[in-house]
Amino acid sequence: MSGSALAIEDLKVYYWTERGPIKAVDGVSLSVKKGERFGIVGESGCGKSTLAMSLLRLIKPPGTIEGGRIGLDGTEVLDLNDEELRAVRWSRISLVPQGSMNSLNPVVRVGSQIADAIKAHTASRERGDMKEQITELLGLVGLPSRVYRMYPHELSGGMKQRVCIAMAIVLKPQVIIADEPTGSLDVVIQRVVTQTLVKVQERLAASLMIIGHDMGYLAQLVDRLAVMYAGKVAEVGAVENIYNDPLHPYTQLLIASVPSVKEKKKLLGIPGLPPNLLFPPPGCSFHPRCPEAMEECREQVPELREVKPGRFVACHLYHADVGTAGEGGE
Amino acid sequence: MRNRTESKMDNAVLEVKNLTKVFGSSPAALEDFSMTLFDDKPMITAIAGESGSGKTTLARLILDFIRPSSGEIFWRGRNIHKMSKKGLMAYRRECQAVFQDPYSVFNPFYRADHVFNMAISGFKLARSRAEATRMKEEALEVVGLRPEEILSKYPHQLSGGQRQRIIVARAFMLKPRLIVADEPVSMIDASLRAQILEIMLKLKEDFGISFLFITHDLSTAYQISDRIYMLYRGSVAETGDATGVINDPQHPYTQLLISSIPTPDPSAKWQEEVEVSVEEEMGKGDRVGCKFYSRCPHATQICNESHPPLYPVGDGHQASCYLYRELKRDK
Repeated sequence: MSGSALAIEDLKVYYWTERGPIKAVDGVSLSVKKGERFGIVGESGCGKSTLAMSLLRLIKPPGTIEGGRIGLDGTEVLDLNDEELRAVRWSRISLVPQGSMNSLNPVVRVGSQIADAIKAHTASRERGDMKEQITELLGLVGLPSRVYRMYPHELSGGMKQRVCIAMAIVLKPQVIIADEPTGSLDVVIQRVVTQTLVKVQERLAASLMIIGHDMGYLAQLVDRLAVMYAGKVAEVGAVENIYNDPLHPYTQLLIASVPSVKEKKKLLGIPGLPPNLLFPPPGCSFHPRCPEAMEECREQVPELREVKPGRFVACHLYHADVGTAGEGGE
Repeated sequence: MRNRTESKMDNAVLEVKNLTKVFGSSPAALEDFSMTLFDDKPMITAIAGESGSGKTTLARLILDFIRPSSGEIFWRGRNIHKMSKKGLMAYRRECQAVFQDPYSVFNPFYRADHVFNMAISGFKLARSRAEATRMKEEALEVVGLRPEEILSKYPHQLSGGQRQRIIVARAFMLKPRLIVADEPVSMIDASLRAQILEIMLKLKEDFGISFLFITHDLSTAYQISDRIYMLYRGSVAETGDATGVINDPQHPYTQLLISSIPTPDPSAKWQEEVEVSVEEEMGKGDRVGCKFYSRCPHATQICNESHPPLYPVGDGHQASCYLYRELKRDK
């Protein structure tokens, strides 16, 4: 695909245990367009963070990338040797890991920590005036230059998170992955940090992949959304379409379980529990919780198929009549 | 002496008077907080606010984990800090707690029934083993869990939602009047949250148990609470009937907060940009006036000079904001 910044094909990431593999990412195919904001939503344990980590090949044993392809604007990430991989990481694709704001080194000043990120990924001759660069970066994420000399404990959660965003963009990558970037922040600060993230992404004309669990939050900022369940993609589409007309029963229930401040309604959850990925159920992994499960769902794994232009869903409900569902453009 | 240790309200189960807590030299974590919960009218009272608003400090004060710097807490008219050992034991039984993290409250080496056994032996609830078993089973059934599936499991074999329901069941088993629930659903997936919230409603309606629901999430507060206290930096910004406060917020802070809640609707995106100054974000600047002064679009001279009291803005609805000073005079 010419317009895609990131093309993931049939990616498989397993964690090996004595009792067999846990298929955390089990055949995921997705593509993120250039300059697009792409969201991945799912509950804890659905494999979304493993997917994020695998895109930079940061999976550690007992986890292994079992197969598939990760195309980064023409480069096959899984074919790179260690040297080449180091050149790609951070300069072309970077990550704001989950909980990164709590992993800043407490005894090192913010400026030095950002400098370390630059030093780790560039040769010394390529570096200009580091202090000037870092101050500019801090400005870009909305922090005053005096933060350069401060320690992490002197900053609020939202400010620490912006330092982590600054670290992820030191080398102006074309793809930024942010895993729960506003995880433990208050709503107003969440809004401020999100504004920063979007501003930075637009300035760099980069693609942004945001991993999250909050359907409400992702609706605010992404262009397209993928819903993950038990290591697989359940549904992909433009964000308006997903929210206005969710196809997969899991997506429908996930949207319905977000409490509203506009109207009081009976709280809806999803019955049952996500499956144990060591022993996933046969057929569609959602069938034990699905209100619309049919005979087929217990036996056959539904493939992710395009049922309307730009709308992909992995559900037997839509697969029998693919021909007729093709009407109605975007 | 009697006057100092007893409160006058008749049917008040919990009465909190002018509670203030200061840690070290920082600005007060909780300032002059007052609230009364009545025994004859079980309610879910939400204490809502962002981190640093003092909501957890309030929970810890009520649970008697920490002592207030000033102010008093009365349980059934008796000051909890002046209770006898026996009185305090009864208070600790009647006022139970459920915490945010359902992972860290379990000892990983013991099976789930350990948390029940500890409570049963600690409070001497059962005279025989059969009675203890019956109590555990009854409590688990109330929260919708099957005792035979749960009691012999180790914590790692249970999901976060199941663990939290076990903790609620343990609290229920003690027949409390009040459960202080500090962020009980914030670590649980959205799809499983509803179950816990439904259990809280059921315990209130069927068993007359009141809840103090400490939360940062206004949407869940809106769905299940009867009353709400909005805290900002240790002070009550606004209080009233939960539906009224959230549908029609009066304090500029509450208005900003409610407009920032992301809704699952791509056509209702955040509107204008929000600016929070670095000083504000770091929680610096202890001020005499309104704590929201530097962020408030309606700030006037007086807001910088003295802290606004709670003015009535509707039926049982009050806001700590000088915008409503005139309203009071008119009445």
